[in-house]
Amino acid sequence: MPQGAALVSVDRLTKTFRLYALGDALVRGCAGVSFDVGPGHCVRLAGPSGSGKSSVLKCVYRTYRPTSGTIRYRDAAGEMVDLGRADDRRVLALRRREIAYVSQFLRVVPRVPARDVIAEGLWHLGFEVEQGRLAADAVLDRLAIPRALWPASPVTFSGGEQQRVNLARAIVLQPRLLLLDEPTSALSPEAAAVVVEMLRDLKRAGTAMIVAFHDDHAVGDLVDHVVCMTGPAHAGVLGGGS
Amino acid sequence: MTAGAPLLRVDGLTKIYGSCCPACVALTGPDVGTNVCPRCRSVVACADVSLVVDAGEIFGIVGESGSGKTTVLRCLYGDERPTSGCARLASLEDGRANVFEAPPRRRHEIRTRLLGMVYQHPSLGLRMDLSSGANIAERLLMVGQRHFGRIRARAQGLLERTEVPVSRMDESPRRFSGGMQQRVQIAKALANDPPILLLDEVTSSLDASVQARVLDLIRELQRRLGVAMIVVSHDLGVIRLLASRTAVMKDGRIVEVGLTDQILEDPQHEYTQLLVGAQV
Repeated sequence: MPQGAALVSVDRLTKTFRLYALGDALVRGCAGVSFDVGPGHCVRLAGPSGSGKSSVLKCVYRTYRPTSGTIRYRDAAGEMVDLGRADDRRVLALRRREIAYVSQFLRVVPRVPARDVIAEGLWHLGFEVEQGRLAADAVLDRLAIPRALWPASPVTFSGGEQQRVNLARAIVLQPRLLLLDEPTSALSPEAAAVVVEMLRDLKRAGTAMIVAFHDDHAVGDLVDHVVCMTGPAHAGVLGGGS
Repeated sequence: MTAGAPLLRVDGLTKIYGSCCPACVALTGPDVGTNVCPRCRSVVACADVSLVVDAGEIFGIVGESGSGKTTVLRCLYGDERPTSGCARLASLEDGRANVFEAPPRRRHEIRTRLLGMVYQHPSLGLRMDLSSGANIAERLLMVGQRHFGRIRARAQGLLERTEVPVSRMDESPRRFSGGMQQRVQIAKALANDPPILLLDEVTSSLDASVQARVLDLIRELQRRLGVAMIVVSHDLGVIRLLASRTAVMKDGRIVEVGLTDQILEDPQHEYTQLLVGAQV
């Protein structure tokens, strides 16, 4: 991939946590990670649990503040922004329109129906209420969430269903950059195949993806490039502390 | 692309109770672990508080009791007079005027038209000797509405929106449950369509199930009406569900501000780590 074409360029990304309760212990999330992702490309972060895959994703989404290194992102207007250092309000604007993140856990206001949880992002973008719900329904349908569950709060759903609601929230937005943390871990092989198929469609439409998968047979041909996060340089406790 | 001009910008808000000496601010705060000035015994309720709120955004302020978060709201709303500082509202003279220095009549207008306040205790925000409908009507009368039918229709609409049975609009909120009292308070605060709502521990005294309903209502109002809010709470769970950005207060100061998920998952300040670590 030519250098200038990257949508995201991660360069020597390092995240170290300083934990005061442990006597200022330094805990390494990830260290010296570099890779590029272009539009319509998918990078897989590979490695055992604890190797720092989630840390990289969370730094890109700015749930974590990177300790050093840069995450250069080219926004829809063509402007470059370092996601690790950009103003919070700027990051929020990008999260609303361009960058979506699918975590392993679902966190929602209780009582809100699944279809509204999914439509909410579209409403923030100015969609009419019904328009947002219809788009949500289409994604729920494709992800094979039983229709009877749509008006229920996803808090009551099974793990696999919650995971699909999380995916639906992100997919419905058709983001420019999609960050996925073990998106099929709780899914049956059939459900995982549907998810991979939907991700393939998004890719074809130009969405760039960074995906943490610890096992590769679930993803098939989705991945264009693998970043291996093994080796002690990538994660672990650095010491310090008492 | 830039983030644009904020709806509200607060700079250096300071409120000191007592005689106040030049050392008050320097000798208090999270680094020394107190908000009482050792020299003159004044209480520095909050100092150097700066924040911005964007249109339609929910901004959270979290901290333990006594950290100064309620004082910030009360100063903004005009219940307290700040010792120093500046607050600018985009809808007030294009953001040039300092709300804190507005003359009394102007201040009253800001309070009735541009801001809405929901207190922790319904008795502070509602007149219990009036019906819930009349409580809302009171706000509408303040901005010069006189048409009885229109006032009543507006009150009805607001109560519907906040899920209070309209059939009970002529009853005193004293007879309502805690959750319903809070919903009447929210309806009243919204009466004149303010661009910013200030919410002080609104769900703290409610049962979990009632709390969920009020939280859902708050989210719904933000989404449907596009109203921006400052939500003050000691409860990180409430902040997590509502706020996109959050400031953490301790001993009258903001010790950290960031995206809410960052505050919760990668807290930078020692105190924030303690707060997050203590979450049940």
